[in-house]
This record gives sequence, C-alpha cells and structure tokens, in this order.
Amino acid sequence: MIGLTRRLVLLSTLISLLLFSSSCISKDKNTPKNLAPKTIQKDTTWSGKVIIDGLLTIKSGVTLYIKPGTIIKFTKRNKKGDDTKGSRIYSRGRIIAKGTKNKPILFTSNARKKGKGDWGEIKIEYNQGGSLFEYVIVENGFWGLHAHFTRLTVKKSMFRNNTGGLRFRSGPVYLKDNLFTKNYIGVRFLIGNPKIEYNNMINNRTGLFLTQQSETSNIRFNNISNNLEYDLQLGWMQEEDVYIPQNWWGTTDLSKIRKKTFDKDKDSDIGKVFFEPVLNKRVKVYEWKPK
Amino acid sequence: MTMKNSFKKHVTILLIISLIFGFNFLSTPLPAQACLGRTLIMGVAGDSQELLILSKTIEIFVVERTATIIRLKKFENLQAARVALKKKKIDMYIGYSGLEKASNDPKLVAQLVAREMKKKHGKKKKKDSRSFTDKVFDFIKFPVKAPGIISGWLSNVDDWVKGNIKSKLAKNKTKKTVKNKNNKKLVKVRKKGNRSGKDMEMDDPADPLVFLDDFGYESAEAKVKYENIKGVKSLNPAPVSRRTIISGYPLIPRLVKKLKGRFTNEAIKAMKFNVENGEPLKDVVRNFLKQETLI
Repeated sequence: MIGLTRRLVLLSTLISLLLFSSSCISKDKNTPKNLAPKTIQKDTTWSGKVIIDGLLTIKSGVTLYIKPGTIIKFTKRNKKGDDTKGSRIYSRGRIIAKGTKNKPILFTSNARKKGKGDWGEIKIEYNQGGSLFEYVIVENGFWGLHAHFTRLTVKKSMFRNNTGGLRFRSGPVYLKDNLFTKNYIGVRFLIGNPKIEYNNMINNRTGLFLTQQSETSNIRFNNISNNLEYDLQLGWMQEEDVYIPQNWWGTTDLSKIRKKTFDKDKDSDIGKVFFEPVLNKRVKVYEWKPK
Repeated sequence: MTMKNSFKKHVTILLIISLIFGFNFLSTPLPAQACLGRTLIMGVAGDSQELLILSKTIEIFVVERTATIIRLKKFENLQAARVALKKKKIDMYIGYSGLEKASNDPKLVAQLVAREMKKKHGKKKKKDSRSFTDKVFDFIKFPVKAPGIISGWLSNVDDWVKGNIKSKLAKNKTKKTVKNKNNKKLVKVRKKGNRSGKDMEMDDPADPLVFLDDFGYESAEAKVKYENIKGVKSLNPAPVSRRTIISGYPLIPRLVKKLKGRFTNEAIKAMKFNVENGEPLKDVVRNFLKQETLI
C-alpha cells in the first residue's frame, strides 16, 4: 500500500515537472498572432508577418529562411535605447533573408511612433555556414545587424534610422550595393578585413567607424560622404594607420576630406588615415528606392 | 536489499529530473558575452548637476570612442552611489577625490564626524574624559542629530566603531561592557538595538576601490557643499571604480586621463546654464566634447 502511494506521488511529481518544464517554452494563452517562438530549434521558414517580443534565439546548426515580403516587427520594450534588454534575435545558426527588388524583407519596430533603438539587434555569432541578407530593410534598431566571427553577405539592403546600421568583428564579411543612411553610425567593425564595395554611406552621423585593427585594403568604390559629423572615424584602439584609397568622399579636396575624418590629426593617440588616390567622382552604385 | 532498491529508485528519479531540465536548458542557447557591447553601470549622485554632467561626459566619450556601453544609474546622493559601488551594484561613479578617499578610511571619517560634532555642540564646560571612540559611538546612537552632510557617513563610522569593539565583544558574547582605549570609562554595548551599518559595505580587500585620475580642477560646487569639512585635501571631481572593473576595461583610465584639464568651473557653469535653459544634457555634453575634439 505504502509502495503504491509512493509510486503515485513520484508519478504525479514527474508529471508536474514535465508540465512545468514544457510551459517554460510553450506560448502563453494571450500571445498575439504571428508571435515568433522564443527559440528556433529546427530549420524554419518565415513569411507574412512575424512579431518578436523579447529575445529570440536560433540554435546552432539551424537555418532560418525568410521569404520575400516578410515583415518582422520587434516589440518596443526598451526605453533606454540600447541592446541589452530590447527585443532582439540572437543566432548561432544561419539566417537566409533573401527578398526581391519588389518584395524586400523588412525588420522594423512595432511601435506606433518609431525611433532609433526601439528594438535591439539581429546578432549572429560564431557561424561560418554563411548568412545572407539581400533586399532587406533594417530600421529603428539599436544595432541593426551585428555579427561576430560569422560568414556574412549583405547585398542590396538598406539600414536606416538605427543607432548603428551594421557592426561586426572578423568575418569574412562582404557588403555590396547597400545603403546606410540616417543612422548614428553606418558601419562599424574591428579586427577584420572585410570586402566592402559599391555601398552608399550617406547622411549618417558617422559613415564608417573603424574600432580597432581594422584592415581596409578591400574597402573600395564606396560613396562615403555627406555624413553629419564624420565620414570616417577611428576608434580609440585603432592605433594603426589606415589606408583606404579609391573611395568617393564627396570631394577631391583632401583638406575638406580631413575635416570630416577623426584620426591622428584630432587625437594623437590613434592612427592616421591615408585616402590617396581618392576617386574624382561619385561611384555609380545600386540605388535603393523602396516605398 | 530494500535499501539498495530505494537507492536505485532515488538515482533513477534524479536522472529523470536532470534529463528533463537538462534537455530544456540545452535546447535554448544563451547569448554569449562577446568581446563587444559590454555594459558598465555608472552611478550618479542625483543631487549634483555637476556630477551628472561629468558622468554624462564619460558615458558619451566612452560610447563614442570604444565599443563599450555605459549606462547611468541615478542615486539620491553621493553616499548612496558610494555604497552601491562597495556593494558591487554599480561599476563606477564620480565623486570628489579627497572626499572619496576619506570615505574609504573610516578612521578619517570618524575624525571628521567628531570635528563636526565639536563644531555643532561647541566646547563643553567640563573636560570630557571619554575616548574618541566612545564619543563617536554615542553620537551614532542619535543619528537624528547628525548634520546633513555627514549623516551619510554615519554608517561608515558605525561600522568602524563596531569593528573596534568587535574583538572585545567576541570574548563576552551577550550583553557586555567594553573598556575604552584608556580604560577610563565603559560603554555599554548591545548586540541589537543600536543603529546597524546595514547599508554599509567596507571595501573588499580582494577587489579594492580604484581612484582614477581627477578632472584637474577643484569643484566650486563641492567647495560650497563640503566647506565645513576640514581634513579633506582635494575636492577635484574624479571617477572611482573597482580593481576588477578596471582590469576588465583597461581603456577606461586612459580615456578618463584624456578628460583631465578639459573642464573648469566656468565650463561647468556654462553647461549647467544651457541645461537649465532647456538644452538636452546629451547635446550639451556632445557639443562640449566636439568642441574639445574629443569625439
């Protein structure tokens, strides 16, 4: 009799544990329609509208495919405008977001009145499988896209009204035909040698920010101009000189280009930038004209 | 036999439970702490516009020149920020160099408190033969009488006094009497009932406070506020942090050094004026840093 009671107690404990543990990952009854799960554990395809509220994680070895025209909205949780608590994606897997010219993929804020830093970031780490963002619009994030030690290609995409558009460490990273505009910082990276060509970095507060040990030999044929404060800024740890020829800086006048550059001229502890030869006219690049 | 069976059962149950939890835990990858985007929490004394301006300056300067984020957390006053740092709830704050060093030296704090007492109550007719510790301890028992500025320090003194008598208390565990230094008078000490130093954390010797370079000017605001405190040698605004934080963020002292000599009382006054006239603090600070070509 005692044995039976014990077994019953044990069984009920196990069942409650199972229920409790599964409730940790199951959806709440009042969850809005289209709400993404908290974790993606197997290959998944998104289309239509998706809402992300809080942290969404993508497991290593998994691929998230996003179809053309998909709108991903991040709930505004974050009043302070930084990436530590906002709604965001953290991925150890791949993300293949491939839109089309007429049906771009949109990552945006779910707030009525949208602003910079409404949501966190799309962060991909330690994934060499190769993530792709093509015909994608990323807006109102803290850092739109943020990658570490990740093979990443971003093409024909637009990053606007973010605190920072794209930020990465190492790579390999390939950026082509993108527009970075109205962000505080367009592109920022450290310790890497990315290939960055035929991009527009315009009307940001700072166009391109090199944080530390940044290799710039493959940054060519970009329009990096008309940024409010600096077209090019070196971070505190960028002690090495920077050679970044064959880009268009809005002028061929080196003294004017230097005025829009934060380097050794302004802080003797950091490296100096060498622009020559500068391009003498604007580079013809892919023109983004989304709605 | 029964014991063995019972043991087996328990082990099986434990295994099942760990499997259930382990599965759910492993299936959810946690965000890793990467090299970038680390956040430092900086305490700010909410009652000082000057310290707020300086804290904001460090925040913007660090954020714009490095990959580190600094987030400001307001406290009621300097003492509250000080306690929060000692309790490791924040990573740094800006105080006034002499004052901060003094606040970390309970003996000096006690001296300052005693001076304040003397100043407030005047010279007594009869010579008080009680020891210094006794006087301070008596004072602590009536914290209401404490002058505003030093009231925040009372917890330091309290702990210091308690520390002094602790070794003696250990010999007599309950209600005991303790002889003062000169063995002239006894002070009754109750284990409970007196004001405890519950909001006080003494400096952790394994992770001591680090006093960074000051900003290179003596604060007029602090001079007014702390003018009645003698023994504080310098009232230059300066950040205070802890050793582990500084070793984790070696750039911070270097950046702070860069700010040395950039501020004057006049510059602070002008910035305060702009803020009081509706200009956002962030803009005021950014303009200053731009003007100084620091960003």
